[in-house]
Amino acid sequence: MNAAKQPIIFTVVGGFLGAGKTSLVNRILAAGGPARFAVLVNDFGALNIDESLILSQTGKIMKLANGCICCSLAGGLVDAMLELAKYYDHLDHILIEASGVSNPSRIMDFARIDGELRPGLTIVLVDLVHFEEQLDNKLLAETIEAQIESADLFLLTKSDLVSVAQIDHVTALLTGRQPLVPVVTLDQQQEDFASFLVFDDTALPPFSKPAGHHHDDRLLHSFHSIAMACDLPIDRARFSAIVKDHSARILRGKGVVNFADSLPEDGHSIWQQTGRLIEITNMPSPDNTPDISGTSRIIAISTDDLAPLEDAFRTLGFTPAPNI
Amino acid sequence: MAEITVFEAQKIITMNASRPSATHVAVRDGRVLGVGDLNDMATFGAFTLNRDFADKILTPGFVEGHAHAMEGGIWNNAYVGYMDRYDPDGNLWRGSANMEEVVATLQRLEAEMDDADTPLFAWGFDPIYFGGARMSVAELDRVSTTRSVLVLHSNGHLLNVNSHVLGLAGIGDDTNVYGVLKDDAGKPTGELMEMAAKYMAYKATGNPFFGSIKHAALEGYAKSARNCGTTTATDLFATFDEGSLAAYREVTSRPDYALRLMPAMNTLDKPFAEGIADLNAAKKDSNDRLHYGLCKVMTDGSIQGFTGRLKWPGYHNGAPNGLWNMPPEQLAELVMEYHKAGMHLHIHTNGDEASEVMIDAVEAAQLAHYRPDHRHTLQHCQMADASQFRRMANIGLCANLFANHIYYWGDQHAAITMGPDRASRMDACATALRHNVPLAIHSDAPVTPLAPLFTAWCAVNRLTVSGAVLGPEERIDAAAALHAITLGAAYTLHMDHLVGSIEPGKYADFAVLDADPLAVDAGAIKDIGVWGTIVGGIAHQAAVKSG
Repeated sequence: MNAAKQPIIFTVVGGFLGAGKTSLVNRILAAGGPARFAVLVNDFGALNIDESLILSQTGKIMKLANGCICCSLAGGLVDAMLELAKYYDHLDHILIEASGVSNPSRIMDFARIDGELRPGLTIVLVDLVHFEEQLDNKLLAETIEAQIESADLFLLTKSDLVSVAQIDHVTALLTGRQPLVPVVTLDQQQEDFASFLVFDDTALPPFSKPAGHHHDDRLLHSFHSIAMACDLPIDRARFSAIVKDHSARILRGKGVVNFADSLPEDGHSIWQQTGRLIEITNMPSPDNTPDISGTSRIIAISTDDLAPLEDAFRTLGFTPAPNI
Repeated sequence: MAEITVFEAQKIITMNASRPSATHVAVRDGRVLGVGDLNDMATFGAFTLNRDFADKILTPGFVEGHAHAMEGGIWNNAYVGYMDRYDPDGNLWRGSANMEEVVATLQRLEAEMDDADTPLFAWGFDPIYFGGARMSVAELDRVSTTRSVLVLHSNGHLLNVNSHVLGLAGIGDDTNVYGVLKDDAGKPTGELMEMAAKYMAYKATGNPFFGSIKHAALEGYAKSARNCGTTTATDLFATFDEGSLAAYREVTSRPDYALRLMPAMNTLDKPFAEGIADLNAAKKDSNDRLHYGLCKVMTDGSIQGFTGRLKWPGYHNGAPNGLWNMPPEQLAELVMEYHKAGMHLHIHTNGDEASEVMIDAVEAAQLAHYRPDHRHTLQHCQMADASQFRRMANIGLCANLFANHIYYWGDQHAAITMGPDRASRMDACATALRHNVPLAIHSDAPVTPLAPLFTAWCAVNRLTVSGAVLGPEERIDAAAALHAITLGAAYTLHMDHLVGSIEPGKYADFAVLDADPLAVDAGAIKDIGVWGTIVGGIAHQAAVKSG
């Protein structure tokens, strides 16, 4: 293991059969970008891969010309991950399409236990048409509940096939179980949203061009956003409590925060959040520290009104800072 | 014209209702020419009389409808199970009656290892017999602190490792992951469950069970089969990768390979169309000793692992319901597509809910694409009730019941998993037969030993380890049990025209026994000596048991 290498971000796309996991994985692949990623799927055939990009295929592993790898889940997840582990030095990101009966938490455990991996998002897709029926199915009830339990973020699919009332109804069923998890309706307008969430690992704005990816600025027009700054040191416990309490409305939050209890050598902290996935880490190295003179700067976006979050941050001393 | 050999026996039990017993069988070209007495034999022309087995009992070679070729290769690792077992070469591996004996066995095997870096893998560990005692790093560190030691539980779900493996895997006090068990002081005990924890251990040490089936495993499997009178056996969860297909082809092409092998393709890890195409392609490799055509479907987990899917009222001890390997809706679609394509499905179901979902699926497939003789088989089918057997009969489903479970884990099923009432109908052989469901019984080797006479003994006596009779109403007689390990099993494999009875035209495959299983006391069926087998007219003597 290369000590200097950053851990590989590990993302799980879960959800029940027919919820659109494969098409979401395909969208994320299409968005691509510079990240060298591996995608683990049941069926290579369901992926939209240009055959001219395939460099080689041996056993479970298909190598692509852009440095990415597709790995088959044939034989099970343990064997697939053991096979993929041979390529960890050349990967930035692993994306797993969980089977419809798996518990995404048990899959995310791979990233929790292996120091070469870092837990990323658990996205759970929910089929708006069939969700209620699935919840009522005694063969599936525990499976669905476990998937709901594991989500950092819900994406509702097939919104074009249901009424607004049905979307509200399903949203209420989900938030009743998981009040801290954002629920986003995935429609045509927002189809690149998931890949944006998966690949945006920058600590600072702008949202619209994260990490060299090319997202349409219009993507963000359907969202509420706030940008705030504060020159005073921030109370870590209160900050953590606020972002946790408001996690249902934080689709993406990030920033550089000067915590009052940080040691000088720790520098500033980076806050990254998508729904229930909250990460607060120290700056990786002083060289990368922007000169912000003790100022904390944060931004957040949501499909919901962010006024309650803005009010909460004000209690810490943050004020709006539109020029971030 | 090919030579005729006539085998003389004390008695030949043919399992052919038209001619149930005889003293002589004529064999030509590896097939049965006819049975009868010595006078009948003369009518076939000149023959060589073989009297090697004149004092033996011949039955049809036994047919094991649910076992795994891994039985032949797993002995490269250390066996630490509760019961005594023999490996394919006849070496005795003593059972470990308590934790101290497990440790002693591992210490002895560790001392025999040359290379200090080679991990010591052990299998078959079953602390369910140890009254709640759990293994921890304390025990395995007494085996070695410098070599990786890994102990796989017989239920397949749990893995115990020593401190050395924990260190290599980076699992410590600060590891807070589901599946890494900890003691009261917050230290990992070395007991690992679930995928992530096992992945981390295998990432550090390698996984001995990874990859294609090996030639040596298939050779060992044939030896194990020979030792217990088995001449046809499945490898009932086969990965059809190039390495495995080549191994099956090459090993079975040897004329002295003493087994008719039937790999069943795992259907779960590829798209339906691809699986059907792969199986049809593999059929071209079939030969006298290699018979393709079976497919395996996994639906739920196991009863004693609490992963089987149960109907109400669920697990007796209140454990949550089990796990599906694939969404039931998708399993039903798989059954429909494979059935439509003419495939022969062997469907693992342990819990009664899993059985019900698969009975529904096969019924739907029959309604959409009627096949008069599909012979799809529910494998294990341990908790099916009478209503399910009635439905199975109506739609032509066969049952291959896990009779060995009654002995090995029957006490635990009565006490913990199923409770006394439902445990009495586990592996309900008599109910299956009462409702005319074609019946086979199996060992699931290497989970339990490959030994059809033992499996028959289980079905006839239904005795548990503690000596209790589990569900006396479900006992079957010796004749029915012998049928289940010969013609009955052959029927579930679509092989009853070739094996399972001794009658003209069939392979000359016999079990050579010291005593008549229909004449000995019911309690002695498992103790009948097995000289070996005759496969295609060629005799193969069992390994001499040592130890």
